[in-house]
Amino acid sequence: MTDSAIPGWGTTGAGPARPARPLDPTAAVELQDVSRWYGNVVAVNDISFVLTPGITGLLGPNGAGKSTLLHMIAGLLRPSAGQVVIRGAPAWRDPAIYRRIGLVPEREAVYPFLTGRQFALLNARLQALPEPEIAADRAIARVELTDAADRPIGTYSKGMRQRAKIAGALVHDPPILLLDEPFNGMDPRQRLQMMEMLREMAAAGRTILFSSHILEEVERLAQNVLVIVAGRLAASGDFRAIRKLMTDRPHTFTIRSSDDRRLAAGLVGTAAVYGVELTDGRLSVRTSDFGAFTRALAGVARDARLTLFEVRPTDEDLESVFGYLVQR
Amino acid sequence: MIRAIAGVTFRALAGRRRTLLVTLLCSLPVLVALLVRASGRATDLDTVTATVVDRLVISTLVPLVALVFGTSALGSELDDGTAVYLLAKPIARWRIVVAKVVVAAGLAVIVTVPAAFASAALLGSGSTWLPHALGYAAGTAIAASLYVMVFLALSLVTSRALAIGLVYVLVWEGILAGLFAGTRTFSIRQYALGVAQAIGGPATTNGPERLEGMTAIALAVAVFAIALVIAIRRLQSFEVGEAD
Repeated sequence: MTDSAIPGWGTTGAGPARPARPLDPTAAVELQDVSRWYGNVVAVNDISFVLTPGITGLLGPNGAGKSTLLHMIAGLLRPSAGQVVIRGAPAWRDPAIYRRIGLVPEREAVYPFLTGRQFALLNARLQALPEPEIAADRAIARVELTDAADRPIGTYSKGMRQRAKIAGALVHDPPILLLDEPFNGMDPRQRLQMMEMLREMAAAGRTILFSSHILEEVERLAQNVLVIVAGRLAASGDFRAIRKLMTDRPHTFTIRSSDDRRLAAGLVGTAAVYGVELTDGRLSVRTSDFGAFTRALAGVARDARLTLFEVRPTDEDLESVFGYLVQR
Repeated sequence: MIRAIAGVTFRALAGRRRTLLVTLLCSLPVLVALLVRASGRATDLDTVTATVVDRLVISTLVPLVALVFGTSALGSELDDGTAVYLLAKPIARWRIVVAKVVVAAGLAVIVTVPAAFASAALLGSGSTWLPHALGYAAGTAIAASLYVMVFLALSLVTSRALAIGLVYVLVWEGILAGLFAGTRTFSIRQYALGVAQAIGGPATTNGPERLEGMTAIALAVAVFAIALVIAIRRLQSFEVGEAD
């Protein structure tokens, strides 16, 4: 817990003085030069962006600062510097923003003694909605939880609990929806359902921000993406452009085939390949163009009448992808 | 809105196991009083009353029950993350604090006051049993509410509220307040005993001289108000999600 005696939010006394850019009062969510540190540890480092209607994915490895960022947007954490603004009003210490925001936290705990319907109803009452029962039932139906709505949440599976949390966040039909790792613990079918639901809500003009450490989830759902690595915004914008940045970086593949030596010889002459190495009976190939290489590899193998047993990217883990983006 | 918060707080606090434990604890002084009466050997009932009700109810039972309700009313929700469902709502934070205090203090009063009244009444004799019992009931009610308020505020200041609360009750009130009369100004237990005596409790004292009734009430009100303000201010700037 930090000292609450430090008044409010703001840029005063933190970081180098910068001319404040005018904020966009119509932006659903705007972050300007936002940083957050805990003691000497910087969790979020000087991030600025504007969220627009549609789905935005907040992508980054675990511990990159995604949750810290989401909590600052949700007004639950004070920015150490910079400002987070919801429709022109600062998010920190203003409970009124929660009329516009629906928040689905990552932590799993939900009052276990309440049923799904009671939980949605609690949220509706806390939102002071005029007809809380109707709003609760509508939200329960929206997340397809009607069948289990009268069972205590304590008996729910992870996926059902997640849907109950989302029902609670949707009950007041908020224009802004923030979800922290919403697909954690869901099976593939539930994941698809949820993605479909978020797409529909985005199509209805909502601003949706969800965090994930899984590239594939973000790829399938988000038009826009914010990549955050070690507290910094490593890339932002259209997902396809970023995906291209990611795929066009140098790759190394380990290949096993019926005759590695002949395959190596065939690959050396290929344009997409700029390094071939055969050590300890393992063939590793370096390439700068993912697409061209995979096509060329198939051709070389066919022409030389070789069988490919295994083609494995050696550095395809997310950390290295992110590491590459940060270096750029 | 406050009713919705109060409702969910009540259900969280009045869970089956906790209720059972607290009820068992509260029946203890009543059992002791029954045993004393049944044995028929106690000669100075006022001293026995003071021992059972002061020591067992006001000095032990009430702070323990209040510690359980006070630190978990908001503290355990902040720990397990469910508090987010209350905090991320368009509700002024003071309303959340008030709802929590009303429910937790109400529960503590409901379980401890009957125990104080019953054990004092069982041990009383002649015409003094009713004023004794009423005095102790009033003192217990004040102590229960005040302890809950202070422990709830403590749970917003530190995550070790339970341990610190226990040290306050055992070391400060249990040992130091018995040795130095000056500490009674900062002892919830002494406020309660002061009120109890002013209303009609027995004049027997163990430990320092009792606070005067009005002084005790004034101090209790002041401490309650300070703890309430601290709790509200802490919750207004409470930060969630630090552990990324």
